[in-house]
Amino acid sequence: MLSFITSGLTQRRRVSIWALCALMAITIFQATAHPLGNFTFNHFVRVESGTDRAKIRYVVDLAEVPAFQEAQKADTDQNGALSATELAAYLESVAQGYVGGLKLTAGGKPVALKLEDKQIGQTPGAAGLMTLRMVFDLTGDWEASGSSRLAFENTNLIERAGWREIVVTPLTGATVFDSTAFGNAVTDELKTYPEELLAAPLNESKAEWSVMRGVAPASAKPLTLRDGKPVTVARDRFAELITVEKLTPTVILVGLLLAFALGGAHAMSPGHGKTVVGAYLVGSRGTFKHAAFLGATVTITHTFGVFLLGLVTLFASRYILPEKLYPILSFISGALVVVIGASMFSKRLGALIGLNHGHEHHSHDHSHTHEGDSGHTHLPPDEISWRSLLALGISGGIMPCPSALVLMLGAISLNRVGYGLILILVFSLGLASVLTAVGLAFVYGGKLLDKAPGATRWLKVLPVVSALVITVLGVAICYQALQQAGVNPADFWHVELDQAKSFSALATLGLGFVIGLRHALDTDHLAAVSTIVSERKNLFSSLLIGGLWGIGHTVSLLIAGIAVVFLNLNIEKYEKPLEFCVALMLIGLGLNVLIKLARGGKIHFHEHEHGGHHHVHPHLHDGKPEPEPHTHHGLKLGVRPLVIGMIHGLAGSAGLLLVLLATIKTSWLAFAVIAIFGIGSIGGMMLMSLVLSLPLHLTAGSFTRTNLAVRALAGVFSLGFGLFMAYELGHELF
Amino acid sequence: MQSKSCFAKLFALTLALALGIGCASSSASPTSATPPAKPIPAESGEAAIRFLEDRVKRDPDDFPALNNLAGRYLLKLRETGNLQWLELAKRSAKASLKSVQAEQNPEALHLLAQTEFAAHDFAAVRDHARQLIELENRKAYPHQLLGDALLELGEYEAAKKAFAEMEVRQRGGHSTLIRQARLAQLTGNNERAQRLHSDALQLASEMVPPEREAVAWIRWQLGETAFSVGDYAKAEIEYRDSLTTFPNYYRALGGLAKTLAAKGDVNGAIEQYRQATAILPDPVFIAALGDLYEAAGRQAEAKAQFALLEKMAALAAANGEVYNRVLAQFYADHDLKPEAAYQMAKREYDARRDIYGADVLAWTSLKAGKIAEAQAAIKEALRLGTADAKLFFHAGMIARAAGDKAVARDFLQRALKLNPQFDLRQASIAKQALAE
Repeated sequence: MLSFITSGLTQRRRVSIWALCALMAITIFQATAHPLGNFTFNHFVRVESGTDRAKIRYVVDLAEVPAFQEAQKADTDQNGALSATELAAYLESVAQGYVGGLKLTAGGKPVALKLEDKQIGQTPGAAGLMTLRMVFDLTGDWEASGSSRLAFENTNLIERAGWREIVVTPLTGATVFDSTAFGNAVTDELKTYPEELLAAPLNESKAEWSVMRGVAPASAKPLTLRDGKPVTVARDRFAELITVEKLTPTVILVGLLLAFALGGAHAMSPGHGKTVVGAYLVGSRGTFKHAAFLGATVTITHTFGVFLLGLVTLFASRYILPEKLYPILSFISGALVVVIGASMFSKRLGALIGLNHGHEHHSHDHSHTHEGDSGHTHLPPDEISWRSLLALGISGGIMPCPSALVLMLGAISLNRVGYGLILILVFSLGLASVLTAVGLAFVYGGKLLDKAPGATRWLKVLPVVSALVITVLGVAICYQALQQAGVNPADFWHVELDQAKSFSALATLGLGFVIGLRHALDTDHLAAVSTIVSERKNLFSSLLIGGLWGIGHTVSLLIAGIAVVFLNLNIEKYEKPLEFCVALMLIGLGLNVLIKLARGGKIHFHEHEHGGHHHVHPHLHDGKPEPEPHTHHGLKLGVRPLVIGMIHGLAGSAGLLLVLLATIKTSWLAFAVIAIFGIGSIGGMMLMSLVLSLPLHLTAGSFTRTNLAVRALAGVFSLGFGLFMAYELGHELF
Repeated sequence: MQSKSCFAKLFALTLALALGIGCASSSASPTSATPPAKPIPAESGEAAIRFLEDRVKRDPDDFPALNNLAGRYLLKLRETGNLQWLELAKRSAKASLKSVQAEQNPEALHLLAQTEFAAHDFAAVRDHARQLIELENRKAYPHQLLGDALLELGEYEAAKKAFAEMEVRQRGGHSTLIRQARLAQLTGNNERAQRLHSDALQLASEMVPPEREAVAWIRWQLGETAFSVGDYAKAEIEYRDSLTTFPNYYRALGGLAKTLAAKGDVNGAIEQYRQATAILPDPVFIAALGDLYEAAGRQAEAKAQFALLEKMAALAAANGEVYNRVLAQFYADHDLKPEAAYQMAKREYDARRDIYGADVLAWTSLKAGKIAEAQAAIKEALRLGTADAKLFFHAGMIARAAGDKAVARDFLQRALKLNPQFDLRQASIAKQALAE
């Protein structure tokens, strides 16, 4: 919770600092000075080494003087400026020379480097001069022979002064050791140089290292970072099992036991769908049989997954890289989970709120009947099916554990295939046992819940929640898979605003929308809205609150925008005090909710306590007594979120807005961006308040206590975050 | 041993920087034989620098480490001419003084003074040298430092005294010989200068281990002296020997290029200057390269070099004033920005009244049409009796502008007799003027 709060705040702070930096960059503009002065050629090399393939990124950064000299060569039309075509032609003319200066050898034999991609660009430097930056991406392949010793040398412009940096990192599945180069970079690919008081520029032109699959020999010196610490690759105990010197019966037995235990431990590590399995079984009120079936599916899928991926890696590694295969499998698994979760969610939600049946009475009856009919052994076809169980099991096991894969490959390279396969099987068994046990725990926990008084309502809600959880987890898995594949969805959220300069009007508007969406999710916004939403049980009114907040937010943004564009006001100056107001407001909101709670819920909840406690049927929104509590807050519903949104709009977004506006030439576009930003934030906020209110909404009718707890949580969250913000800002302000 | 090798470095440094920009001349022929040149391996300074940086990062008050580091940065500066090392050296010397005061830490003050020397802040060097004399009067180095500073400030009598004090405290070191050679050169005794430099080279070569930069520097200086008396064959040998000792040594690269140009090998000189400017884009090299391109009829490339020099001037303005004198001279040589060049030279001369400062002031004054001022200044420049073709040439051109034909003729003849190809561009102007 606390970390959530702080991360929220740092993110926020980052936005304003970043805005400030961008502003400074616009007004002062001064590229980071080259540490060796303005006549240097600076080089950066990152070698990602596998056992039979390396990827190399080579960056050359020319400081002002050589950039000027080269520009005179490149400026074919002699107009004093370099066009994109001139730059491209220049890059074309020098690329082969630069690439030719890079030498990679594997086991003493030269490796041919293939140029995959190249880029060139200019950045302003000192005294009105430009600097020139070229990026080359290369790959090299060679015949692997177990482990190999690699050597790299950058012979380009060796006699000329400049920063020379080499970094070596392992490709997925490979281990780099006994390396003369370090595993981390000092510069950001020559974009920024360290500004330490005393640091001579790096002068790294050569590197040598060894690489192999699996675990490096014990005598090897691991790859280290520049501070001397080893590159943190979590120690792979499982993969180490295969590399023992001698196989005695005891070693084998211990190995098998260890494999089982490690498999179990692996199941406990995040990302193996324990929650999915648990949520599914509980939600669908599964049995021991289902749990066991699930366990078996996971074991088989996982074992075969490892075998398959291992074989594919072995035989197809020349064509498909395992690191490319992993995300694909991951994504498939995630997508499977999403499909299962979403279909369950829509069915169950429909059943719960009675959309399918028109009336809540009906649905109530229905659920009663099937509890009566089928008890806990027989499953209604729409709740749990062997098919969906199978799919779930596959999704849990399809994603092989990387250490199992490493072990598999190690086993093959050590000619211990049989032993390796058995180890993997046992490992998978351990994995499945834990998953099954977790599932069973959920099943029996659920049964206990069944017997508890008043649990029926809870049980009705649970399947919906569990389906939602499954869907969300599936999305998370897909997201991770995309990240692994190098498609970072988060990039879209963190688009650097200075890129906006080169965007077309349409793209700028799109950017405004995305930033708005993202902006709605800022922690202080959530804190504020959650307090208001926590007092609503009606989904629609929650939606409305989110929307009103967004509108308030947009209105004040427009006012601020007018001030910025037409009056040239410096909002940055007022940002901190306004943020402080937000903090105070958050404290107030939190206190408000908590005080109300302390007074004993004279708000709309006691109404439900009457109906909700004894009977299952009174539903939140369909119930007749409901409108009253709404009118109770009738006036506030409109005004409060609006005002709060306005305050938020003035405070947090000033920096963001300024930066965006500074990049936009025409004022109509600026306002369009604000408007689109507003629409984005309205949408985002509506969505968020809906999501926030769902648990409340689903629990409100049945468990006043749960609801009270959630509301109290929202109040405490708001209060805590407000206090934290006030404390942090107070430091800076006073 | 530490302090001894440190002294050697210091001497070499101060001289290297003192003489780097100025030019000397002589009317004698060399006599002493010099030891054969052989490559001297570079000190493995890189690893030591990293180690020391790491040390001071962990303990910012480790002043011996900071001093050691400053010394190594200064060596890098001498080797490469790259002023960025100066910044690092200055920072570590200052950090050392911050942690332990000069009274207990004179080495750091000495290092700081050396960085001031490199930054051409000679008045500060003089003051710090006097402070060091208070602290360590019995040692030679503060007197040497004082003498070097006074020389740059144009206080020649006081400098001579300081060097005498230095010699009393440290007889027979190559650093002492180098100072005496310098004095001989300034007073027009090039033969003695050549001999003293040869002796200094002998001594420096016998050092164990030999210091690459110190040896290469003395060899380069021998080349400079040979060049200044028009002995281009010997100059070429000396420069090449310097490059054998220390490949890519920027001073020797420039010297060799200058010699090839003087011998009429325009293409060879162009190639050599291109190499030199790649190692260090010294404005002197760039200007010379531009002149060579022009002489070879490659106008576009000449223009590019001059454009680059303009940009470098802008960068230099941002970096400090180390190159002001060079730029002023370049403008005057090429009849560019006469008023700006004159102002630059005047500012320089107000701060340091040495003979070469007076010469640049005289030359820029002439180009700016201030003949009387030029006459006064060139008289100052010639006051020590220095035998330098460029001084004679400037004196001749000033006399010519003042209408004193006989004096003009005399000076121009002396210039061309001493060093017929003293400058690619100016030597032919001298010949033309003489032919009229």
